[in-house]
Amino acid sequence: MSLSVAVGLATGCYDGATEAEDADGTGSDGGAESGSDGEPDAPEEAEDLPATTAIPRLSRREIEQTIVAVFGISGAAEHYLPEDPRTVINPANGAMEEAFDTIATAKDPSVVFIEGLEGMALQVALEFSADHERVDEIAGCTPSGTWDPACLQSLVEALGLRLWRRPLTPEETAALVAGATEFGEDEDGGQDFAVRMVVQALLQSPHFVYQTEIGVDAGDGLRRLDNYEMVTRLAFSLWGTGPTPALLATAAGSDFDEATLRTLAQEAANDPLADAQMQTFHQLWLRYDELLVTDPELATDMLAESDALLGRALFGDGSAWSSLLVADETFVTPALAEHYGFASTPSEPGWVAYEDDGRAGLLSHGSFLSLSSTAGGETLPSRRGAMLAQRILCQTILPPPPDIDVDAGVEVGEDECKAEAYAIHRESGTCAGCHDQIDPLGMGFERYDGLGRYRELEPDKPGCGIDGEGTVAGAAFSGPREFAALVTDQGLAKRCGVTKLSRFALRGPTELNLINRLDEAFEDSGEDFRALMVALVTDPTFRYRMEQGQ
Amino acid sequence: MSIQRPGRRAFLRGAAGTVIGLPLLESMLDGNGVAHADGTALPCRYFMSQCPTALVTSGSTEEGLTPTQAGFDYDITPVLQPLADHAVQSDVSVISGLFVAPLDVPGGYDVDYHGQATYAIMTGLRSGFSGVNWRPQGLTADQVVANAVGAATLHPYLYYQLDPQPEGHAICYEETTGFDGEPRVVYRGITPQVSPSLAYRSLFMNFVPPDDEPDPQAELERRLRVSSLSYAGDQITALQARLGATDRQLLDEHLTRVRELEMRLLATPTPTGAGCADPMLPDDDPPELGPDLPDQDARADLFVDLIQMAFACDMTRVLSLGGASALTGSGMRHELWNKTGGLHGEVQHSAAQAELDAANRWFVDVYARVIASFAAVPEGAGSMLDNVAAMFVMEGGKGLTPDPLRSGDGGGDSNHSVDNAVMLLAGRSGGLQSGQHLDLTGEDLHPAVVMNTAMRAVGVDETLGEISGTLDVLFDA
Repeated sequence: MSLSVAVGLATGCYDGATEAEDADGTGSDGGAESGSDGEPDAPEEAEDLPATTAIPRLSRREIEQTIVAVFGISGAAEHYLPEDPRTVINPANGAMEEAFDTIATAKDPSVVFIEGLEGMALQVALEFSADHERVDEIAGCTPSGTWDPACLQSLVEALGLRLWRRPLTPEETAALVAGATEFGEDEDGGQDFAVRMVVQALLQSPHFVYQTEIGVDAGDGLRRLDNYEMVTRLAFSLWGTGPTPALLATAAGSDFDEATLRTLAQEAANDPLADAQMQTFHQLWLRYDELLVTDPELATDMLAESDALLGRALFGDGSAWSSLLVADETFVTPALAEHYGFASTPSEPGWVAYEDDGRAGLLSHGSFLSLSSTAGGETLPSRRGAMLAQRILCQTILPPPPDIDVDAGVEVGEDECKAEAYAIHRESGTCAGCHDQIDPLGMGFERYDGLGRYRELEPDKPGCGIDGEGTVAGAAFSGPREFAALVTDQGLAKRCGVTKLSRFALRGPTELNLINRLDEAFEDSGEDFRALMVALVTDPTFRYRMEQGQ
Repeated sequence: MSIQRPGRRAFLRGAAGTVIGLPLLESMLDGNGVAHADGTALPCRYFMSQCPTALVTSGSTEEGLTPTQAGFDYDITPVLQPLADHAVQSDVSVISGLFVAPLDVPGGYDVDYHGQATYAIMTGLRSGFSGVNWRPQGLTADQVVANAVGAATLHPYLYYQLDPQPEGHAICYEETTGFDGEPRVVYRGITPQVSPSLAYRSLFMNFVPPDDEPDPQAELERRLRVSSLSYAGDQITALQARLGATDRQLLDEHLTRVRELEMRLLATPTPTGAGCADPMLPDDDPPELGPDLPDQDARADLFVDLIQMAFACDMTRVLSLGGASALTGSGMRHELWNKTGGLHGEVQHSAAQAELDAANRWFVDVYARVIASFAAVPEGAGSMLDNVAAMFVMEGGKGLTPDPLRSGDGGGDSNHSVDNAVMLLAGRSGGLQSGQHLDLTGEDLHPAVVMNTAMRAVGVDETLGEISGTLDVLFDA
């Protein structure tokens, strides 16, 4: 059963909501024709774009990575800035949803953030100004004497271009130089103080903190990003950091044609920065690094297991992306193998083939399975099912009715088996709407406890066998291997991954037609994630933004 | 990475860097010792410590906090033991038997305990009946006070949080302007400061001891910070002109924060209290004890010291100390309760009552240390505690019967109830009389009455939300 059909059958808690407006199916290739004013007409596909802010704020991670790239200074953003929210309330339905750190609407300019930004800017400025070699390298000059305004201006222009991701206007440059001159000429100041003033001002400016996407009017509420905004969006999407000097140099030329943009995108997607971004995206999406395991050594081994699989799925020779879910072997330490109860334990960390217990891919890992566990590693099938629905299938699970005490979970009597109790619970009229959707998912994983160990009996209830049977998209399954096979064969997980990537890269809601195009491109590439990222940034709508309030 | 931090100033350090509380010079006081010599009143401070738990675990009705004896010299229960340990029992009143109804009544909540009850407590407004969950529809008490007295200090309010996890729900909500086609009032959670070192930096980096000689280098540093902020503010204004209404509104808020910080840097605060001293907190926060296991004790120590001096130096007169970011303490871990789910699922719902009592005792201990720190600062004829109203607020109470008219979520869980709730109130500001157990069982008084009492004690003539009235018996006759 396809996702769209599943949406239609859903009742109760599931509203099948994505960011989709009406899907009108196919889109054109988006070839733009020039309008009478010389600007190319916006592609038809852009009409479906959701309205978004012109100033999405960078995440702490992106600010940190940009500062590392420009100044070679690490840790400042991570120390001073508050973490970005990882959940956001969906205003349409009140549901608390997981959010990437790139999501614009989750952020507000709090006192803690503004103070932190000031502290970060001061720290970076202090360290950078003391590194004369690096200052001179960026400025392209060495100051003569204790105060050299001409050399400072060179620094302003060079740093401004990198940090604001566009050339500064003459007025902006003049204002900065004038402001810095006060300190350059002060008898207690000098060149270093002037440099500090410049760096602090540039880093606290909205042009650094926000990814400004004003563009030019493209009609019907659309804005067309200029070259600098375009390479900025490309860089943050593919790398999680600002555009390099080389990218900025290409932006200085005339508008990119499709061929140029595709070349830029492919080069960027093959940069090591893109490798790191792909891994970051998956970690933020699947959240296995939030594993709920109190044993630190076990947690370390589990994280290594999942990181290794992710790396292989993304970068391994001949690996398709879906191997993340269907891989028939895993990377374990001897201790982890013993923990899982594998028949054969390796003598050193390495890849081990799964045996016959129904495991496959990341969904078999203790890291992921722990996320829906409770004290002592026991499972919460409804919570696990909701997690699978939301993360792997991109379904929206609405909050329960206010009079439901979800903390209590489904009550299981002392003489009752869990499956039986959950089945009775689902028969309750008020509960069925949601639990018919999520329990079958969770129950299908019930043979794996909260620490990823296989079992066929409930703990302390030898009379309660666990059949571990569930359903997904109308088909029966048992265990991660069968679940993964179903959701990959039907393209459900792939489509969800595409949806999540588009939200992550575009910092907010996307639309169904874009997801359709990307899904098709991903499929055509043989599930090459790098190709998917290229498809995203070369999509005809990537250069456009829909204005709010239209 | 080892980061060189910018320098800060030391002031009034004693041996080995300890803080010395100096007696306020008689010449600085009026004849009665209750005001400054120039006639200005000693500042009154409002403090709230929030404990993200209820009194009982699921299914339990027995708990270790509520005293059995009413009046003065109440019995010290296991959870209240820290009040005795820190010699502050006579400074702290216990108010028990409070109640918030899961009903559509003033200050009530719409059934959902987790999503609504806390905000009914914090705002005194009925919560959840407008279809909005997990968010209040009005100001929290601290903001009411901050609006009344905050202009007198550099920081109109401060909001810290014990647990370092930032994710979740704030307990302090401010009024701001949103934009949805047109401007409208919205209430938004305030981001707490979870880093003791950054909280310290915010208060003391620009600190100027009163007797210091002018320092040209320090003045240059300050001008540098102000100039760069001013430039950023100008950039925001210029950018706003090119944006749509919604984005302009967002930048308005950003600009306001920048200008506020600029003003704070320009102000160069000079302490007015002789008990004021730089607490000399370290540059970095305490390292974790293990993966995702914060050193909560060390963090609390730092916050206690900072809160003391934030008040003593009159940096603010309104301060909230949240326990955890998520309501009910989800994910908050401590060596005492090193559970994967934190305080919530595995302590409040699954643990034995003794485990929850131990956790609650830890929060009471932090509160007690804060009270003791106030009492240690000489001020006026007594101590700073004479000019403080300090509350301890819990998220929940205990439902004694499965009554949906008295407990949330259908009444089936004694833990999901704000019935028989307990608050603590310390200090002697405005004539508060401390050290008594006031048993209000059966009167169904809302916790906001205690907050009103604290507000009255610090001279704020307001009531919280829909709840009026104060506990007059807690004031001197």
